[in-house]
Amino acid sequence: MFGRLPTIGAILVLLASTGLADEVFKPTKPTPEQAKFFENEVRPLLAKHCYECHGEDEQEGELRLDSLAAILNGGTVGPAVVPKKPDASLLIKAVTFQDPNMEMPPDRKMSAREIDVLRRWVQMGAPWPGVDKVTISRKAKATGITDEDREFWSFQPLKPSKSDDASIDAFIAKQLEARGLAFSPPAARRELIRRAYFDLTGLPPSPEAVDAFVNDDSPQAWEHLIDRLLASPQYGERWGRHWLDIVRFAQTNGYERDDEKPEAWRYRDYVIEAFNSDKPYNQFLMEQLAGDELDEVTAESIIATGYYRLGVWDDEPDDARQAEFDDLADVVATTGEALLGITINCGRCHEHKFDPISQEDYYRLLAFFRNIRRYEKPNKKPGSATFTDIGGEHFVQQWQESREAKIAQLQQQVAVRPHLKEAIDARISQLQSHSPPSGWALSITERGPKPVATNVLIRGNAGTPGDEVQPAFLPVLTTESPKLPEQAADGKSTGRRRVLAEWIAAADNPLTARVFVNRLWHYHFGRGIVASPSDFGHTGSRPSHPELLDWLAADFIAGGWKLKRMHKLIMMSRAYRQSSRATNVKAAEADPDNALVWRQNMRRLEAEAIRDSILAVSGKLNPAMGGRGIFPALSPEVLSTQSRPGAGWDKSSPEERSRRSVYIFVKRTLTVPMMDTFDQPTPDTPDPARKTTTIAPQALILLNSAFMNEQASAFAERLLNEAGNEPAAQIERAYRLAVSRKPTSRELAIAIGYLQQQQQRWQELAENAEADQAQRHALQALCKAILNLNEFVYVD
Amino acid sequence: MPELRRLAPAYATWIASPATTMITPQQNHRLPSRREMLQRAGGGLGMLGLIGLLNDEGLLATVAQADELGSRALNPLAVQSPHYPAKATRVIWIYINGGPSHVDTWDYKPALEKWDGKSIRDFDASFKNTTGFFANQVGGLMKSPFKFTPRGECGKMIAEIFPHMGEHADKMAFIHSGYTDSNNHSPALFQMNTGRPRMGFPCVGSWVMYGLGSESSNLPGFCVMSDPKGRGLPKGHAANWGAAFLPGAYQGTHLRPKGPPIDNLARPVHMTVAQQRSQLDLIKALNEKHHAARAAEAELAARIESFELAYRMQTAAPDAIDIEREPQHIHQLYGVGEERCDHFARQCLTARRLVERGVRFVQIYSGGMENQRSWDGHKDIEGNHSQFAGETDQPVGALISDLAQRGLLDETLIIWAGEFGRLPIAQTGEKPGRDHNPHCFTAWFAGGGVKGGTTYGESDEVGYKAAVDRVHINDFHATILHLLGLDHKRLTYLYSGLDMRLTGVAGRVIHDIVA
Repeated sequence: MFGRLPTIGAILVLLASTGLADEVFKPTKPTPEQAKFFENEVRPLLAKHCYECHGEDEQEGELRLDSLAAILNGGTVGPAVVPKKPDASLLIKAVTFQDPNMEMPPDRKMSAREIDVLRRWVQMGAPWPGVDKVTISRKAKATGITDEDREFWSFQPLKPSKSDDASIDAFIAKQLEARGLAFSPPAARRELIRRAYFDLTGLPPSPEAVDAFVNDDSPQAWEHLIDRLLASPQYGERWGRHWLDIVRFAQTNGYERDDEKPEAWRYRDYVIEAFNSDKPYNQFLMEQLAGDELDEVTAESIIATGYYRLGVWDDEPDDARQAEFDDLADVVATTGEALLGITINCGRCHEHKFDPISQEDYYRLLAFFRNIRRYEKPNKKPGSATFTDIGGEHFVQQWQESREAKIAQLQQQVAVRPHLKEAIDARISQLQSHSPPSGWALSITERGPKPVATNVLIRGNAGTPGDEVQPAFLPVLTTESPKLPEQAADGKSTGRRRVLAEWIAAADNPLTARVFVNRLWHYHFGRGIVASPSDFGHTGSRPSHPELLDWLAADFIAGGWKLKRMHKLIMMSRAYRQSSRATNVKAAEADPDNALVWRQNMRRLEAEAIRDSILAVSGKLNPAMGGRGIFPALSPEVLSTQSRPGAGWDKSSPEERSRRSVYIFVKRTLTVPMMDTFDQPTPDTPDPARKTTTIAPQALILLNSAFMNEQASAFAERLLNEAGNEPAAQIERAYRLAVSRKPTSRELAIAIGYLQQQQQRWQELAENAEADQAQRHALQALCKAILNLNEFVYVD
Repeated sequence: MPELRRLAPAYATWIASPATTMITPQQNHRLPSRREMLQRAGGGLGMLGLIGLLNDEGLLATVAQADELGSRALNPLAVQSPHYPAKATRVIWIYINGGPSHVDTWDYKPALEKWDGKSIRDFDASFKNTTGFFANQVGGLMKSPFKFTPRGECGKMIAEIFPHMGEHADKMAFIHSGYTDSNNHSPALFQMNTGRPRMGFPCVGSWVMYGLGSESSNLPGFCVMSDPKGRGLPKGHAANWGAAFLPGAYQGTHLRPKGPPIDNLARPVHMTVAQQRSQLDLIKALNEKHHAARAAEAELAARIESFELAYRMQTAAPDAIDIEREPQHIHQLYGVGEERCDHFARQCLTARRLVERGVRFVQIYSGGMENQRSWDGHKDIEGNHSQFAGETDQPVGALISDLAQRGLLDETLIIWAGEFGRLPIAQTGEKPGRDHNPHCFTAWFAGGGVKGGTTYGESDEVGYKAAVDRVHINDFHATILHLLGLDHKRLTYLYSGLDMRLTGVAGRVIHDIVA
């Protein structure tokens, strides 16, 4: 009945019915009254007027009306019924003869009473008693991808410039010049070294490192600084954390119990080590998506598949089948956004509203993951769905070989580049401190070599399966079909995830490299060439410098997908080294958002970098790496915010608590207030671009919290130890530690006056107070003020 | 130390200067242009959050014109116009944690007398032992242990456990046909708060903050109070008042049930007010100098101002929640000091003080976690509901009277609702209880824009299932937003490629209860 050419009206209705759909439609079980109403009124009416053409034998317009699934799925022009929305339902539109092109039944209009029955039935939510036995025939449509769809910029193959003059600066300069603008002058050396340290390690430089760099006249000073920072183990901690944002890393399941995901920390350590060892990005992806299906499976590659286990998990779902698809949807959405930069989860319930991705495409992609065994309660035994034994002898041997190779390579590097000795020695001793793999890894397993069938789910509802689909890549990106193996090499899985991983990690995938180099740019400049780093689709931003993006992506691939050389390439550019001061009035007027990169952006440190810097400056930072995680001390008030107060939050020693923030145990229902307040994202959903908010509770934390009191006191002790009793020397040391420079004479005067006045006040307050104690209080108050400076939390 | 003495006067001059305690438009550095701010705001919603605070201070009046002050891009907490005029501007939600039994409270079922002791399957064959939570403790239908009497002019039949609340029957609109999708606490709590029985979606309060902004610049606009008697938190805890993918500025602030209610409000113990002021003045002086060299950076000005706001909050917040400032007769009205209900009386009184000061959304959880620690009356429904009604009846009744008497009830929407209802059958045990029932619950609204003395929808004869004019949680939420002047279909937020809504793709406003 809806088989004719859709009219404009019908198309509008179709859009309205799918437009805002972000929710799984869940047919509710009819009440007895509804069942009665349906059987007495609705079904006979449908049978009488509709089944002849839209029933078991005939399906005009590919529509049948004898099953709820079929009705919801609809025919060629869309779903026949939108539950509870008679006015948006094509069925009602047709029977009310609103559209001359779509009048049903075609011979005679139903009676007003009959129409009212249908309308009431739709309004009730289309209750359909009994089991829906009909497997509906949702004809897998031809891909429906047009040339125009494929022309969208990010779906096009890379088109890197072949010019010999191509460089970051050339691309940036070209656009600046076109608007009569120019680069800003280079940043001062002190600003540069802080920028480099925070960008690459998330920690402030020591005063000695600043002096050395500022006084280094060699033309390689900058380059050597970058090399040193990239070689230091702190680099992986900084950049690993960025990746953890993108894949929404957490160590608990969420929901009521919020139990720990044992061994999830191994994934975090894997990520940090991957960055530190400059693991090629394509390999990094392959290991996470299919580490168990590779030619060489290692303990590391198994740990990498913990990628699939990071999401929320409902341990007692109402509907286990639906819950399984919730988990899979989470994996599909994260994979789409993190690796391909496309928002694909719309396809779960309906066609993508903006991008050429159909519901079938979504389920074809999901089919690669369909055979994954659902996360289950921790069970470290052979056959576990969630854990794999990584203590086997061959794993240990592989690990030893790999470690020796890494160390040998590092030693070679030192021989050629002696300026890296210190950083590389630190890295070598870190590698030497690693212990061989043992125990169990949080990991993926499949149901076996035989794939479970994947069906399109009508309106995303696991209870209304449509046609079966086979795994396929997104047709808008490729015409290639996946070559599916019979099973993976080890016979334990289908081998399908590897096929998908290879497609994503391939040099000719138009999105993968673009998305990743854009992330690098985003973290180096505070804004990506594409300002929406996980959305390269129609709702995302367009690239400000498309040629630059393609050139970087192509260079990244050509360089073996290695990150460190890309960091260096970016940081060596004039664009990166510019001052962040908006002194160029013309540019500020023309491009206040700095999309054209006429200056570097001033940026606030992230939550982790703020906390780590405070620890570094107070002298308390404990550089120990890895392991299950640390538990900062939380007040009883904060612990009481859990349904089981304090459950799952251990005690760490003061030394342990002073480790870097990337090691803070990530418990979904108990985030550390300081991290939370400074915009650390919720671990439930991926966050490719943190927000920076400025709110009063941040100031309250940095002024009044127990953590800050401790740190200010430690900072003061440090000053007394390192600078003695002379206020001027203390203040100078404090400035050099915290903001990498000496105070100006005016700042010095103000600070000395402050110390003096406060010391007096404290002495007055407590009559018999020791001068010593008053001095200490005053110095602590000054230290805290310095840790509150904008200059401390913002990087030029 | 001669050097010290020489330098000290410079400090004295500086500290005495009025310019160190205030940023004034005249002496302030070049503030960013309006266009610059707007454009930069496009790059990151949060970064200009505090520009709104500068607005509050009148500091930006010269550069940002009125039409843009309400812009959410400039300030996520700026007051927003509703989609259409509405009476209610604020909400106090009495959350009946654990799931109250509708047939023992507001949904009078005389037929249960007749059915008492009979099998529910004789009434409705679709019942399964797994409908509730405890499949092996299924008893027969059970009449309410409580007496019902007609209350108010409307004559609403109300259980005897609500003598005070019953006084306000003519101000209440009851919904007897609510239903939800889950029979388990945490998903059902998520659904009642966020519309979906899953983790990771913004709650009603966050949506309302997003939709309407905050009227208070020195108090959190969305406050949550939980059980202070050590009985735990609602299941799913902070996710019930989280902003999920909405900006963090919209999340609920949990006023801690024990100790200081807001974190880090108290200055370090050894510091006086004057000393902290000096410390802040020092920070400000140094920050302003830093900002002068980076005048275009609005964030720096915002952060300077955030210290002033924090300083004010240290006074304003304790003041707002200090119910000791209330006169004796108000304490008595709420039941402060009565052992039975002291804690809830204090919370209700705090809620009134908060909404009076412009706080937009307050949610108070009655009861802690589950079983006998909340309204989750699996055992001894009579004892359980007598106890929790006793804890809340007088305070909530007093809250309504007090708001009405102050002329605030018209602007304040009061909600009484929990995550699901309870089955009309007994859960067997030493003393009969009642098990979870997702198919039916009762909730009521009162105050701003609500048609008092009305009842919408019906459950079936025994209260097993919502039967007439069924109200899904999405409909319930659509109605709350409507009462606040927000169209649930227009209140959208683009996330992950989708226009997200509180009501998903569903939701129907129940106009019958709107005045």
